[in-house]
Parts: sequence; structure tokens; C-alpha cells
Amino acid sequence: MMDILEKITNTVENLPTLPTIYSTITEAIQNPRTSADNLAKIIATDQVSAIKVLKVANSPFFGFRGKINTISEAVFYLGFNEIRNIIFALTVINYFAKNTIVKPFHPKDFWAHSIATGIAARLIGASLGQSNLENYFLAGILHDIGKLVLLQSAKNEYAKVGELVEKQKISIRDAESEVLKINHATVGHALALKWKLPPTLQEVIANHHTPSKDHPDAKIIASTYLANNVVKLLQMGNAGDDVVPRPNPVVWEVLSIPNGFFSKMLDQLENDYQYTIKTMLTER
Amino acid sequence: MPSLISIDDLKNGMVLAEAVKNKYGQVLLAKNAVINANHPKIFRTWGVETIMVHDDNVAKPQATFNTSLVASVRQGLIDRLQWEPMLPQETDLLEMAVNSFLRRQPITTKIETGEEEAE
Repeated sequence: MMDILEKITNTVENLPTLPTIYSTITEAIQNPRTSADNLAKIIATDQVSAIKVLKVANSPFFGFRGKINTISEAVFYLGFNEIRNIIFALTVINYFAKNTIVKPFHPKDFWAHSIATGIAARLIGASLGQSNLENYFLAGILHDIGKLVLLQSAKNEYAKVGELVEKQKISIRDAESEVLKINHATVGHALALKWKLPPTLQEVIANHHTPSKDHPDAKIIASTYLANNVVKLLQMGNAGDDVVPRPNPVVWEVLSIPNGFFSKMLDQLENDYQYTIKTMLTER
Repeated sequence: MPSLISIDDLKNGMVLAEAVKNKYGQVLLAKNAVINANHPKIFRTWGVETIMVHDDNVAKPQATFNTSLVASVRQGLIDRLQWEPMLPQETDLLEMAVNSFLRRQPITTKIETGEEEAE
């Protein structure tokens, strides 16, 4: 039998490179002569993603309340980077959602958890006055991507991970380490490297369970860590376990969250979540 | 405060906070109109997906809860988490979750605001 670690490494190596639309768009954005209309044309070549991009662009958290009617308007109002991240998130969701995965979570519930984390991370980032909120959103959506790689490469063993979580009420990360000798943060980081994601996203994926004070990306890592725990606490979607640890006190130092922030955030988080899972997770 | 909701969540009796227009800018339904059962179908036909309604019509915690229910939801959460809040931020997190889970309680366990407390 092939060693599990070998299988996982093979899977990461054999995963397709970044979806072409992402690299085409990234190249276009890097070209200073690209206009909003040029970019809109590239996006419109894929009709299905164009419609979804429009729906997401009208999400309540962007504040345009259904007023964005065309891709050009979406690019104009939201900006190149935001649009690129939305398309990338939709492409990755679509890529992995096709695989039939049964245990320990349904792909829809997995993505609901991830999208909720993205929304919560964005709200936390916004309260800190961060300007690159599109990265907070994408970091939240991709933080657990390693779980899908593990599922794909070691389906039977991952079912055992699920059983262990259920039986011993431990975190899925601990169960992964016990059964597979590797965890989803490490595997997700390998995929992020292969996909040449921006370094900040690589760091969030690798460290979303281990926030620290001294990391150059400490704020976005701590925000994603906290967002992950907030949405698990609220049972939005399913991350594969129901373990919500007492937050690592480091995040309070890094983020200086204002008093009563979470209670105030709840309404918006729940509204944005309902809207966004509908737009990002429906088939068409 | 008005809120944006999906037309899938429209309910009879909700009041529009903004006129609903089609993509040509024609008004389909004026501001302050009251939603009835036919409206969602019309909006769908015109490709309208979201609508601004007055907040008090959106399902929000319009009820208060009796203290024993709040206490039992809170205790249930603490049992699930296996830690008790100590820092103010931790208390805030827990209270946020208490509120969220109270809203999910069946309507019969709520006490409507303004009514006498029945305990």
C-alpha cells in the first residue's frame, strides 16, 4: 500500500495549476494599460462566472444594494483586486464542489463554513480599518482548503479522521495528525505554494490555527483565526468538528477588538451569510 | 433602518423602504407599498433579486425571552464549549452566540415584547 504521506504529496502535485481565468485576470491587472472595460470583457468570456460575479458584487457587505447591473460596473465599483478574488473563490468552490465527498462533511456545508469565515474575517478587518478587505474575505474562504486535498488523496483514511472526531470529541486537526501524521494547514500551505497564491494567503492558510504576535501578517492571520472560531461557535456550515477552543489571547493583543464588537456584528454577519451562501453556492 | 433582503425571504405584509425598479428604471412597486403573495413572482419575472424593506418587518429578535430560557441556552453553550468566559471579549463572544441561538428558538417559547411576563 502506498504511504499516506506519499499519496497526499502526489495529490498536491497532480492538482491542476491555477484555473486559467485567474492567471489571465492577474496578468491583465498587472498591466497598467488594462481598463475596467478590458477586464470586464475577459470576465464576460465565461458566462456562468460572469452572472455569479454580478450576484456576489451585489452582496449587502459591499453596500451597492442590487444596483450593479453589468460586469463593467462591478469592476468599476469594487476594484480589480476584489473582482479577481471573487472569481478565484468561485472557481475554487466550483472545482472542489464537483467531487462527491461524503465523510466527514458535505461539500456544501464545508463551503458554507468557509464563506462564513470569509465574511466574519472581512467584518473584523473592517473594524480594524484595514484597506485590503478583499484578502480577508478570500483568506477566510480558502483557510481550510487543505481538508479537501486530504479528502481527495486519502478518502478512506479521512473517513477515519471523521470517526475519531466523533468518538473522542477532539478537533479535526488533532485527528488528522493522529491518523494521517499531517494536518490540513500544512497540506493547504503546500497547495497555496503550488498555486503561487499571494504570500499573505499562503501564510494565513498555514497559520490559521496558530496566530502569533510577531508574524508580518499577524492581523489577517489573527482575524481569520478568530472568524473561524466565531462561525464555528454559531454553527454556520460544518468544518468537520464542533470544537471551539478558548481563543488564544494573542489575538486580543494583535487585534484590539472594541468592547461589544461581536454582539454588534451578529446581525450583519447573519444577513451577509444568508445572502452570500445563496449566491455563491447555488448551481447557476 | 431599512435592510436589504433576497426576494426569496419576502413575506406578506413587509413594507418597501425603496421603490422596486426593473433594469430599465421603471418602477414596479412604489416605496411604502405592502408586499402581497403575487409580488415575489412579478419581481422574479423582472429579474429583481433583492429588495429594501423596513427593518421592523424583517425577522429579527422582536421578542424578549424569559430569563430561564436565556440561562439554559447560555449553560448549554458553556457545556458545549467546555470553557467559561473570563475576559470581556470572551463574554461578548458567548453573549453573541446566546442571542443567535435564542432567535432560532420556536416562536412559542418567546414572550412577545410588551406582554406581561409569564413565568
